[in-house]
Amino acid sequence: MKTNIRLNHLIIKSSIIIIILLISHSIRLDAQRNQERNRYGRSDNTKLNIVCSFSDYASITEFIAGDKATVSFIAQGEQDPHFVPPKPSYAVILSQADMWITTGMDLEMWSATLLDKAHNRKIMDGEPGFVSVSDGINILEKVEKGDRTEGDVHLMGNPHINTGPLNWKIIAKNITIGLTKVDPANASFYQKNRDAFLDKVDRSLFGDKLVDLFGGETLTKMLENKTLFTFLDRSYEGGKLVDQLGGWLKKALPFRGKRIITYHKNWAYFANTFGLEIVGFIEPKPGIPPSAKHVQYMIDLIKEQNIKLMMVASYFEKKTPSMIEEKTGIKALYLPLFVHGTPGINDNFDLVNYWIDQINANIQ
Amino acid sequence: MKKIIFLFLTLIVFPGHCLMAQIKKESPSSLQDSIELMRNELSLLKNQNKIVVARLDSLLLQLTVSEEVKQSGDDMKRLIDEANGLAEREKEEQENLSKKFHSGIRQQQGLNPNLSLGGDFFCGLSSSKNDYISEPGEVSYGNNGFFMRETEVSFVAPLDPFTRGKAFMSVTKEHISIEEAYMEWLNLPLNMNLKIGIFYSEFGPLNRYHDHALPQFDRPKALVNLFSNKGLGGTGISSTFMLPEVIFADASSFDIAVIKGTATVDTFSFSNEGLLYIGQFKNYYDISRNSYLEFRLSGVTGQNNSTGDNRSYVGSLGITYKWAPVGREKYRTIDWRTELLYSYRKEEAGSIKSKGFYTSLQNKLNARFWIGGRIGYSELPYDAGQYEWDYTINLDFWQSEFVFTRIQYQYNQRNKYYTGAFLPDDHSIIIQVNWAMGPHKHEAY
Repeated sequence: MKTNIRLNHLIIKSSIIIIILLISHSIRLDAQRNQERNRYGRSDNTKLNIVCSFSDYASITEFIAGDKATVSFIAQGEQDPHFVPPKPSYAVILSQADMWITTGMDLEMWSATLLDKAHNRKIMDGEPGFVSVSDGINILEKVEKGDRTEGDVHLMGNPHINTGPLNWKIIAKNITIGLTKVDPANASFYQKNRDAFLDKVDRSLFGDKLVDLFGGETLTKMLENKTLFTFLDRSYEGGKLVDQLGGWLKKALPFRGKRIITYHKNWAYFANTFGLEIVGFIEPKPGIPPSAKHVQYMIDLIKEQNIKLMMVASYFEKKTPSMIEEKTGIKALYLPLFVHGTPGINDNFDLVNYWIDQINANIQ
Repeated sequence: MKKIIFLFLTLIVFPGHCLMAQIKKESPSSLQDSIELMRNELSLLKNQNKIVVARLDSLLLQLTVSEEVKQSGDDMKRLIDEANGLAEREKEEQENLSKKFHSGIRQQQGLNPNLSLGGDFFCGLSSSKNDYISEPGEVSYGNNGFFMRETEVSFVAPLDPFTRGKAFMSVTKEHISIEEAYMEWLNLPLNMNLKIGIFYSEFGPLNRYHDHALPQFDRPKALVNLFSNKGLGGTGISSTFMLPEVIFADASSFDIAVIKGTATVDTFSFSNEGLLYIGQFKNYYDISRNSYLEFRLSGVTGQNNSTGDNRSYVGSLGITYKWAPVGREKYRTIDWRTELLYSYRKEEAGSIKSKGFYTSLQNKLNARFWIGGRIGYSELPYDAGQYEWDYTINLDFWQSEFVFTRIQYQYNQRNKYYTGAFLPDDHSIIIQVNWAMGPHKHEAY
């Protein structure tokens, strides 16, 4: 009798263990599928293992590193970059990385916990495998004297550098420096790809004709110091130079100079490049949810200034923008902030194309 | 004279005669041929003229084009020069004679640690007026009145390229105590961290939480009755190893610590004599993009307060589940934490086995409001016949990431004695306001 009871207990315990193992295994398979979604290229031990904080940096890295690296990213394309849960599995991913590519400002505050848990000296601050892509970028909205009366303020300035295509060129240069340090044997390969990327950015932004006439670097500098459109007003071949403009800047001409509002300060670099004037924000201060009083202020502002478009990163709540839309007739445009933020947007070029097409289609 | 006549005949008359004879001989058909010849010659001349005119036009055209190209080249050069000039335009810096020069040798604030200060204020309304209603615990709450549970000052900074330092000082009206103060080597061989100093141990889902970061106002009774309101911690050494993936996990780790327990009253599991040995195995699973699950198996042993050299053993199984929909985590998340605890206490008279558990839920409703609840049960480690249940619900309002207000209702059902008196059941309402100055926020993970 006792033997039977022991046998039954043994069978029950074994069954429980087997069930736990099966559940664990099924969870594991699902997790692997999730990780594949966040990876460019195939996992391969002979390649560099590069981890980026965001998909935009991963897309640029993949362009430059080509088949020499496996590139993955932590934050999902549709995720708020400020609030990424520092999951232990991310620490495992970082523990195996040869390079960690991040903004380098105070945006990815969550990454400090991951780096501390990753036990990977190669990718710590200052090491060859650590790349801060913002280095050298002309940062907007720098804070001279920061305090919390300005909300969840970024002390180092606006960190949403991915929205400005001109910034991509500096990001690409910084990534190439990192790749060259980590893998000097393939330096010329990375530099060639970097140059191709820079040329692609120039041609996408200014169009082929203008780039062939003046060169991307000169045009970039003029766009940066706000002299480009004055220059494009010059006569050329019986017309104006602006007739030679192509690319995104040409596509964006219909909304150049228009006033808009946004939910958060996500679009500062985009607006700076394409000449949009942001006159207000749905958030009263960065990171502070909108109060009824502030929403009423925005409604009055929109009516008074006859503003027609509101840009909202798609991870924000839609209730407040919808209500403002209903009361003012303004168009609320929900846009992904990052690559892979919506299906079909597989690189930075797709992303800016999508933004400009959507703005053109919705600005009245 | 004859000579003159002969000369006249030779030069004028004879050729004229010959010519006339010739004319008589050629007419009329030869005249037509001549005309035709002349026409041909004229046609030829016309063609030659056309060629010449064409060549002239061509030359003129070439000349014009050449001039236009030259002009265009000049325009282009001018435009390129202008473009380059504009591209290189920079702000002209004027000489500023009022400028003052400073030395950096006395200005080293940039190297100061991140300094933060948090305040934890509450007011309590309780159906019971017992001062010791929330004992055993060295912080008294649940009474009617206003209280400042603590002011927490924190210092966090890298010490050098290899180590980090953290210190958290708890300041109350009565005294100042060190909550945690440790340095940590981050990247040691064998995927290991090493920590020395005063710290909370890795033990279950909630033990390491500072009071201001707890999902409810108070620590679960199951933890308080075992480890006091201060939690399981002390002065010692701790190490965390990142393990290879175990049982198909996405992350596995093992923590081990040896500490000297902090001084507590006699009613808890461990005395402050001798050392506590603590271990925890943690397995983590990504269930989907939006959720994860974590299991913790923890254990601690050390001397208890009974007469003689007797030990207590506490084991725990902790489960944490988090749902945070990608892209919506600012507005919707669910956190579920559960811990089952088992205590084995050896005394001269025999052994005492006691159990406890808590299960806590937090649900973010939108950017500002959270709703939560907890149910807990705890048998006292020195007398399993005494126990208490606690039922809690709370509503939190986050006005920003740095300030929140919480209202919590709690019902405590007890079968418990304190200094010989029977502790009654009670209802309490707690209103808590918590704030943080500086970079140290109420981190939830």
